[in-house]
Amino acid sequence: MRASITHNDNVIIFACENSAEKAITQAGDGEVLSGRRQLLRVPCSGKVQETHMLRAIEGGFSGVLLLGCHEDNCHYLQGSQRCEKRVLRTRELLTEIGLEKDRIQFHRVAVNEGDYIKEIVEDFIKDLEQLDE
Amino acid sequence: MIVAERKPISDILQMVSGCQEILLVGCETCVTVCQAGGEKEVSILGSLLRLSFKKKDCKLATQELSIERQCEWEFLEEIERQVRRNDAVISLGCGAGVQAMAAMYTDTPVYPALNTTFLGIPEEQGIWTERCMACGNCMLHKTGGICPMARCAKNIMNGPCGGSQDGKCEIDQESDCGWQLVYDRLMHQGKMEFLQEIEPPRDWSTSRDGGPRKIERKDMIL
Repeated sequence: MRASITHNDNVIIFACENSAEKAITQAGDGEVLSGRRQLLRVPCSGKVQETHMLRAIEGGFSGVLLLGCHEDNCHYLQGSQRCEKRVLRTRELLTEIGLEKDRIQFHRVAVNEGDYIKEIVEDFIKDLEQLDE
Repeated sequence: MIVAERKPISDILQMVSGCQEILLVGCETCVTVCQAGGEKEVSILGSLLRLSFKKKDCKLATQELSIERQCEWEFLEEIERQVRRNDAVISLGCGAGVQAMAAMYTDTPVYPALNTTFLGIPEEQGIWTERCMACGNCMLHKTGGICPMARCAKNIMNGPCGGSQDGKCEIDQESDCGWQLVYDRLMHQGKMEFLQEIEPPRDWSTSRDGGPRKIERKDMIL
């Protein structure tokens, strides 16, 4: 069954092509990417900069979800660690200007974690719904 | 290099309240290396300001650019058109850069986005430490290449003081005692005789106590 469309599911998902993107395919693209959810494939989650996340929020996305490899399983060794640190920093920046930090989240997934990725995305959408209540 | 860090966003917002068009200018030299005022930081600050204004239902248009060095006239001349087109400029340069831009464009307010902090080095990824206080009378040849002025909290000339314990400074257990570092370096180099010499009280007129400093090279002046 496809997930229902909510008013704040206009999220952008930055997914590492070595792990998360494959996991999304395994879970079924239609399941994970229903509604207004947009997928942006990146060669490594470490490629995503603070400015990409902030511009996405500025551009009207309710939330930014970053999905990278598990630690010690990153194709580029430290990419997902860099991503996690940048996400933490960007969350602090959101707090500094009075916006909810949970609009930006980072999770680690493996290629074979299709079910887990569905859970992550649904939880993220629920978090955003709570923020907008 | 000059090391700086961004001011709290609330301070910057206060400076630009009432503005509708702002030019953000980064500097591609020291503050880019210490990741406080380069192209990337300009972009981040631009987003933060626009989001903050939007949150208050206010409009803000920003223009973002970076120049090679904000502390030199020839690079500042390149952005005249952009400066004149905006209500204000936010400079992500060091204090020298902000002042140079403010001196060149007196009709447009130039606001600092950074706190210029010290002259230092990138110790490791993400960590910068102070190494020089630009005192104008370098004594590194006597101290094994370690500056007791910049690295001793008391700036003493003949150290260490009684507050040095286990190689750490009494002001902060995380801080190395500058004079212990000097001692260790000279011991390593077999030049302990340098420490036998008593240094006289320092003439601080070459430092800030002598007022704003100026260097004139007659051979260079056209």
